[in-house]
Amino acid sequence: MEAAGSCVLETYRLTKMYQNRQIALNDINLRVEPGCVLGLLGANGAGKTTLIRLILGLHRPTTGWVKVFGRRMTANAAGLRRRIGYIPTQPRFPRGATPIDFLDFTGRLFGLPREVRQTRLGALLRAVNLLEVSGEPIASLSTGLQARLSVAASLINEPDLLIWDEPTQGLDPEARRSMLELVKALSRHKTLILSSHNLSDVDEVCTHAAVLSRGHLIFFGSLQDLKGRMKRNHFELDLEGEHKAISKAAQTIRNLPEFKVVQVRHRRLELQLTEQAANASALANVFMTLADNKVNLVSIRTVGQQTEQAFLDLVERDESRGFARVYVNGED
Amino acid sequence: MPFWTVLRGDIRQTVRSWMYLLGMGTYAALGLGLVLHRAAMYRQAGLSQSAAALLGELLFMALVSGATWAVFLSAGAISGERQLLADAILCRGVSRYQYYAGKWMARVVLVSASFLFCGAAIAGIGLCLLHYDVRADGVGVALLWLASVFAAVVTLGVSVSALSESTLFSVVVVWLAVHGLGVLFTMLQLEECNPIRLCDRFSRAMREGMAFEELARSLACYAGATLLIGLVGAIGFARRDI
Repeated sequence: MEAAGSCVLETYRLTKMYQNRQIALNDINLRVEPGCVLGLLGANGAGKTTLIRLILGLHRPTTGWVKVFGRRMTANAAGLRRRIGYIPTQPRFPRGATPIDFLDFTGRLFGLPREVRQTRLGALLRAVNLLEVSGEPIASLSTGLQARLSVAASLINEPDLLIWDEPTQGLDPEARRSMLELVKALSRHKTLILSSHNLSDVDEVCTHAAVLSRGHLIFFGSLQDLKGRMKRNHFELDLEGEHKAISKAAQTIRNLPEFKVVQVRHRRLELQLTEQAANASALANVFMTLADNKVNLVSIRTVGQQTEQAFLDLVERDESRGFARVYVNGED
Repeated sequence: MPFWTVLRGDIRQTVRSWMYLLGMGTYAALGLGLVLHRAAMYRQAGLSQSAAALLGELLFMALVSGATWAVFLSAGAISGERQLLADAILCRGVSRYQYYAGKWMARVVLVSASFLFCGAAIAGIGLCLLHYDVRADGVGVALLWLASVFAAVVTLGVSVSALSESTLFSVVVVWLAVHGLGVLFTMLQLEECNPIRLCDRFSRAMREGMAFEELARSLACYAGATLLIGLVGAIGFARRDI
């Protein structure tokens, strides 16, 4: 198990216990390939931040190991951390420092030469729109501006791996949108690990997900696999056509045995399938009915947060396993 | 470079701290006041004032009050930054050893150099104004010895600070340890390690000069303790969860 291959991050039987009183993480096996955008999901206290701290070498594993870029991460592995950009949940900054001071200090800690540091510092301040406040004390900046500064600090060493812990927490919708766009842009060149409570964020930007529940990894795989675990049986269709025709089509659909809920509201058709129904054939019947009634389809979507539903299903299933969890590692 | 960044940042931060400014200001004012008082007695009243006796008193004053000041200054070196450590410093490209060494060296150099500079300045003024009965090499040795004692105290402070979560706890532990060890050494009559006894001996040494063997033995004793405590702190810090 010592061979790490070319993966960016690998953990093996990673376990963390605090003073034999609390098991924060138990037997975590992860393997993150280059270019992956991994969403770390889990409720409060699930072990997300502990896992991140173990990856960064801030905590020592009780058993197991973490390898980053094929090398074991330890408290003194400064060389490995030079390839990582990290944003904590609640970024803290030195008292009295300005954004320029802070970025310069961070650059020094990464061992960047003065010329490189100064060039990147200016470019990053411009990129995150902090030029106007670059001389102000950080304490006087808003949460959104401080979040932008954290982003700049995490990028100053041009890292290959980015670990962002709750990057959109406390941001207004505009700042959150900018952050997600930035994640999408960065994901083209870098590997990212995002811890988030906001499942819609994960849904939007991540390619893979790891779901933690009470320190245990209950799912690790692609986001598609996670969504695939949820039965899709609830749809909404936006329609175009005469109101009378839409009502007639809805009435026809109500008579089909695959549907248990059929409702029309302002040219929006809500459909809920029975448990046994195959969604493709059921929807094919719907489309044919709509065509017969000369109703056009504007859009179709599944209802509810798929990732959220899948996450909740996973946690619920893990809870319901009881003692059998001992014999089942991760997903079944 | 990360080591120098930590060292430079810590020196700058400590020099600006109120604790440092208050301690150095108080020591300089008291020392200067004492020298001027004795100089007035010598010049105005014609009472002969021994520079060696005065420097001995200053040495004692520096040792007793300075030890507490050094404890306050060093025991929060790392625990005082606990909030920043994980999120802004150790998550970057700096190892635990580099960070610890940077903090340790910064505090040792700052405290020792401050006492050396301040002590040398007061001694220089005293030598000009008072009855000249000391040897320059004796004064140098006394100040060097004082710096080595402070280096050991500061190292203990930084080590405990690296291993504890709270600055208050570190201050209490280090203060009790420093003064407890002083009492213990006095009771055990350990000449090399008893700072109060050494104060008396250094007053004499300032007048008569000092044997190099004695100096070497004393410095080796404190340097050994400093290194040992420093290493324990560094290893303990590297094994801690931050």
